[in-house]
Amino acid sequence: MITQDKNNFLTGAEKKPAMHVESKFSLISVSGMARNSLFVLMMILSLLVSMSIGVGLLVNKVMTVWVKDIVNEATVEIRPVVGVSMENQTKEALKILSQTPGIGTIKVLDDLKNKELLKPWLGETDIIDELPLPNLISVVIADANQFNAEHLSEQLTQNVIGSSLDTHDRWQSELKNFGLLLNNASSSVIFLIVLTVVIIIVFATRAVMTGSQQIIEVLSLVGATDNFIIHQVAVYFLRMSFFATFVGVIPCVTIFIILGNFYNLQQSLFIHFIPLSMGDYLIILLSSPLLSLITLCTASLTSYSILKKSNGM
Amino acid sequence: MIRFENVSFSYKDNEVILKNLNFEINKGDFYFVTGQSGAGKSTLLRMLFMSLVATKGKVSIFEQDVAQLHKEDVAHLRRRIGIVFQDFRLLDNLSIFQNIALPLRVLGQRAEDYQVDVIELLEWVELGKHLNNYPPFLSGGEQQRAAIARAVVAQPDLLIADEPTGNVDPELAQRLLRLFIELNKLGTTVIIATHDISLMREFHVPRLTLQNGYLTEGGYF
Repeated sequence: MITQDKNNFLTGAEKKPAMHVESKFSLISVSGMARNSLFVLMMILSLLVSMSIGVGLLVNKVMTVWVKDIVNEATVEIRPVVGVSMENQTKEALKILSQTPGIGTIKVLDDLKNKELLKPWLGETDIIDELPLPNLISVVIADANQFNAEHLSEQLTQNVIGSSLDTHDRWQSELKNFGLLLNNASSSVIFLIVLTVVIIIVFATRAVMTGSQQIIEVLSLVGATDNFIIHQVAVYFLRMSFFATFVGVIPCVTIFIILGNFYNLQQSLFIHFIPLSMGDYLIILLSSPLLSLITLCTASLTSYSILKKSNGM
Repeated sequence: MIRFENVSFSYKDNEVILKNLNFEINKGDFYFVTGQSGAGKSTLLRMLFMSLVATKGKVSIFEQDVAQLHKEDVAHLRRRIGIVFQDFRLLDNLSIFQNIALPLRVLGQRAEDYQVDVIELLEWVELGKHLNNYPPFLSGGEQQRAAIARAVVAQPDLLIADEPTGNVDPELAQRLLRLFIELNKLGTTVIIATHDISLMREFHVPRLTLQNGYLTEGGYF
């Protein structure tokens, strides 16, 4: 006979203290190898996304600094002309520049500085000494509203033989285009990786749903709604994805911190490394929850579509 | 509670398994469903837990027309039904405790709330020492008891069992039957499919007999 003691759960009699059991458990899971592969894959994709975001942010920063550097500067070039004193022409140019409104400082670059500018292209060679180099006057624009580049250019052309004014417009435009190109490339890479994540999660969810057929069937028979099953699948993928993407983002952040703090490339003309700000690091770190959210939505929609197709009976 | 009106069932393009069934089971009833192998007992049970829908006629469970129910409604009705399958359908990747707790988990209960109840139930079916073991490491009889425990853990309004004593010795079979009777006394409607004649002789409950797809309502033994 069933004793009263054994009948507690039905009668609501006094409850005994619980024994140790693994009472919290995941209903949906993937076995060893497949789970590890998926984890590593998500980690690598997360690393690629965060690196792309980091590079994109860095390019933007570098471009901003470069454009800022040259947007307030102009250069007057006085080329050597046979029979004309370059010194006199330079003096005339300086006179015009000093009378031009909006100009801050004017600096004539000496021969040594001119030669230094050519070194990255020509290297350490004596040929530089034999070249007929133009005189260069660096002009810093103090007030862009007052400064009239067109008028100055006309005056220089009319009064200074062999002179020309370079407002760095072409450079600015090319830098902006280059920056845009890099940004587009970075965005395209991110888009492709996110697309890859979506495709991988769709396949993984389908595999999990197929592998969990018996679990899903039993869950349905004990009264689980589709939403309950979708929630179990989505939570499984969310957990996996969050840990994997977080592990993927950490090396990326480390790389940028190392580059920003220890790798001094400031001497180089072209690679002007600027450390990322806290905000930039935050954006990189946010790629982890963002990818996890994409995973969550993809897994939910995929499991929803699979359950919708099944009659659930 | 359960009403079958002119119900027939056939699989696609196959012969009719159940033919023109008419019966009613009220709340608190206890019924055996009997019949030879292939008579349609399992099909009838599957219709009772809404895994199959009648191809003809009307099936009402808890006063609701099954054919009119949406998937979500079926899920909610199933929460009021405990099912013991012939093949147990325990999940191998979950411990016995976790298997038993499954219906409570689906009901949204927290582990802290149901832990004690589940352990008590496991002790009741003498599986207390196996609560952290996994189904493949249990004998057929132990799995049977675990399946029964899972069916009754949420204290369902309706209990459906398909050959629940098929894998256990006669003594345990009687004990399990007494468990069903106890549940029935507490208000649970119990429907058991069995071809165990000795069990039916011992426990005097009404039976529904299936023969060639037709239902013959039997009397008491």
